[in-house]
Amino acid sequence: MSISIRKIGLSVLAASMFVGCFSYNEDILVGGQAEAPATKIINSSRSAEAGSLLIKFNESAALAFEKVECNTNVTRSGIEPLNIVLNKIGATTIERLFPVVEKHEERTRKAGLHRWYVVRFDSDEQLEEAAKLLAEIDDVNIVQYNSILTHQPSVAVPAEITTDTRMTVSEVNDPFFKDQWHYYNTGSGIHEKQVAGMDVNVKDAWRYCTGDPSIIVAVIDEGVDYTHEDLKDNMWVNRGEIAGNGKDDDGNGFVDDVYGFNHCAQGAISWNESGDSGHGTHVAGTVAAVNNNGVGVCGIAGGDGSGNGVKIMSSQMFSGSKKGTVEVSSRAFKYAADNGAVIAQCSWGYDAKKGNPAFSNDKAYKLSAGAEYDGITYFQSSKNSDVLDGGLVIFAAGNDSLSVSGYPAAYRDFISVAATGCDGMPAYYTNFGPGTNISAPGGDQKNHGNEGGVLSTLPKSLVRSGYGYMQGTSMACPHVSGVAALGLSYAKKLGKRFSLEEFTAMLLLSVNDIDTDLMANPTFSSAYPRKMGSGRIDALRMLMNVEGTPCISITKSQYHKNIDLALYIADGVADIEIQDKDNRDDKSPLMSKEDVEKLGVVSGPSITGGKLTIMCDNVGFGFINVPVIVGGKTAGSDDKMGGRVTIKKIALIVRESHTANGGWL
Amino acid sequence: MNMKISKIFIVAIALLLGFSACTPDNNGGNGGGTKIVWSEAGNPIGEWKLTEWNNSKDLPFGVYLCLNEDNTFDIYQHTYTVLWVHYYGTFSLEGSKLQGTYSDGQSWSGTYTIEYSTEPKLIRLTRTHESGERDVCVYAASEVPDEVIKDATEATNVRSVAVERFF
Repeated sequence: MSISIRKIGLSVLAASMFVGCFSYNEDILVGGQAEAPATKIINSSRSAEAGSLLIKFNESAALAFEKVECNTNVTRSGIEPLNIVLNKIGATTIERLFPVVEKHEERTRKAGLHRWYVVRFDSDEQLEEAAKLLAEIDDVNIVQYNSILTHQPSVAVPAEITTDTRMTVSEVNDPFFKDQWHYYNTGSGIHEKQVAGMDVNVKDAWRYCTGDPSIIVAVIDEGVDYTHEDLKDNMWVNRGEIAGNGKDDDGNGFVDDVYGFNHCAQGAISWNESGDSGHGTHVAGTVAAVNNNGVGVCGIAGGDGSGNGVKIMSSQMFSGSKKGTVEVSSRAFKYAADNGAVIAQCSWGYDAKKGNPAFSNDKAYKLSAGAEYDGITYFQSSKNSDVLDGGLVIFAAGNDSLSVSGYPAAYRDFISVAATGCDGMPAYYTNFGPGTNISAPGGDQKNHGNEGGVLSTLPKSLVRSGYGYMQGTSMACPHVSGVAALGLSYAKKLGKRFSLEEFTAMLLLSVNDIDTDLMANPTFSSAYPRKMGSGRIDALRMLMNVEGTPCISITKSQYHKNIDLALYIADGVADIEIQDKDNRDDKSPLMSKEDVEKLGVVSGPSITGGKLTIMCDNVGFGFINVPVIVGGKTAGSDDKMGGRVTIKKIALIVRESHTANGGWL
Repeated sequence: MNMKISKIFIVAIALLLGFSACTPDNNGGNGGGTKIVWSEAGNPIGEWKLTEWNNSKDLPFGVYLCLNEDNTFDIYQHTYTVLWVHYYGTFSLEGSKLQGTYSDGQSWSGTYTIEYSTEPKLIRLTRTHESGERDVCVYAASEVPDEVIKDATEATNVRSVAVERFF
């Protein structure tokens, strides 16, 4: 709903005839205590777009405002205080930030998203003064500057198509796979410092699964070149939409959104505007470039050539020189949620300024993020897949070489990805430390040459070959998204379903040890150990964690003390802290009542110093929910950045007797 | 007289059922689905996948058991570690009694009674402990996937988690 200000402006002339719905008087306010105007302005005007502000009404005000358009005689309804401010600032439109879409409106309203509006006015108007005036309206709960977001793309280095006779990999026939060290690192061919095995281990994982077309990954970024020869067969297609007819055929609120939508330009997806870098196309290729099609590169969940790759949805929030804003990113998340995505792949964040992160803690981010935060949580709560009961949100940690993750990545409910090079070590630019959850290959071209970047797809309008190298936590992030997509594909294959919490724990614990290598390397040993998240992501471990839960095996009716839980979590190689019984953030029981009864638990379970104590009198199996901090010694909180608390489920097998070597028989 | 003959008849039937080498599924088998008939006669050689343990299906762990013609066995386990682990050794079968020894010299934790089902193709390994408690595992005929064989870590290379478990 968009209201022409001219109509409202005319109605102000007859203000004396109104029966106003709103008032400046606090005693008429609905929705709670009036707040001081200054506290309603939730963020800084630094890096804000001129000429627009986001506002959030209280519930009753939002309802009343909606009636204005429904009522044919605007002079009867009246929104006087708002009218006055809108006229003062020369507003041109006021419209719902998240437009009405009938089929999603109930859920949208339940999430409170219908209360957000965008006010637009002349960009010459004083932004801060406009914000202040809007904040003085009692029924406006929040005023948010429309912050500008960046994706810090590196310059793409084209890959040359050659008739290189180096070893080909028999499993796939994609000619550039041999150059994708980040998938399969042989230890040679890229740089003298590269180390074999420093990759995400796709070759082993692909033996089990290569993707599933029901899994949709939303690339929230620059537009994805959906015509690319190595992406087009793995693009999500909105079957309800007829391309190019200028109509919203499927009634989802968007016109001609066949492969996604350009929220920046409010129209067709684009990737070759002036200022575009190919960033969206590059990250999309890492997730799901088509495998085994005889051309180009591979994608982690790109299928096996039979059309079974996961699908890429382009939910575009950057377009050429137009920067992404909070308004645009909020809509991009909602679009992804409303149209079936289960993973949001987000290689962007808030710029650090003068060596300081944009936010110092979760509370600061959440308070300031406003509409963006609401859009992201709406996505997280969507249930678009029969294998996952929520939406997974994965961000790049940032490229400012800070010893903390940037935001939004660092927020405790999102996943933050740091970058490593072909030697497995932290890339020179990567953020690390509190808020960082996991590491993945992002490339390091400064130390390992151009080919030490990540090789993926690029628009041919930018790079003639259609392929090239980029580096950044932007490139590391889609490795985690790709592995997550592969894990969900395998879950689909096995007929399994996970909660968001459970799957997130599995993902973050599907890693190889990084800290041992960091401590052994003088360049990194002082600053980096225990600061690169849980470890280096491993696709095979992801699939194995989907396939089965690590099991602790104990003997019936024996008192077991000091079982080292870390050994059962990622085989002891992940950088984690196990929370003790009394210091847990999550107070839910370590074991369900049903399992306690089934196994005849007579002592415990309890956890102290990462060790489990338990005694069971019945043979059988159950589960222990182990609270684990990933990426930090202490859990992040509102006030302090830290690791993410997650619950790792471990199976407990109780048997009459065991062999000492662990053999099943 | 007729009553006596009937009684004898009933007793005879009961005795026949009691002595039969075939037992209908009453513990460890296909639950409420197809009725499984277990027999002590059969051939254990082949590749098997653990599908049920003490009446529990939907197991959070995986075990493949290969009983080979040359009396060697292979076990692929996805139990205590994230990745698959390979054990191997030798086994012997005397009548319906199956026992084995791992390559490291450790014996299986006990002797198992083996029973067979032909339709569906299953084996059932039962170990009865001194306490009377039974450990009943049902395995379905199933080839070990190539990827499992290829990826499995040898048990000797795995940190001895089991030893650290017990004391």
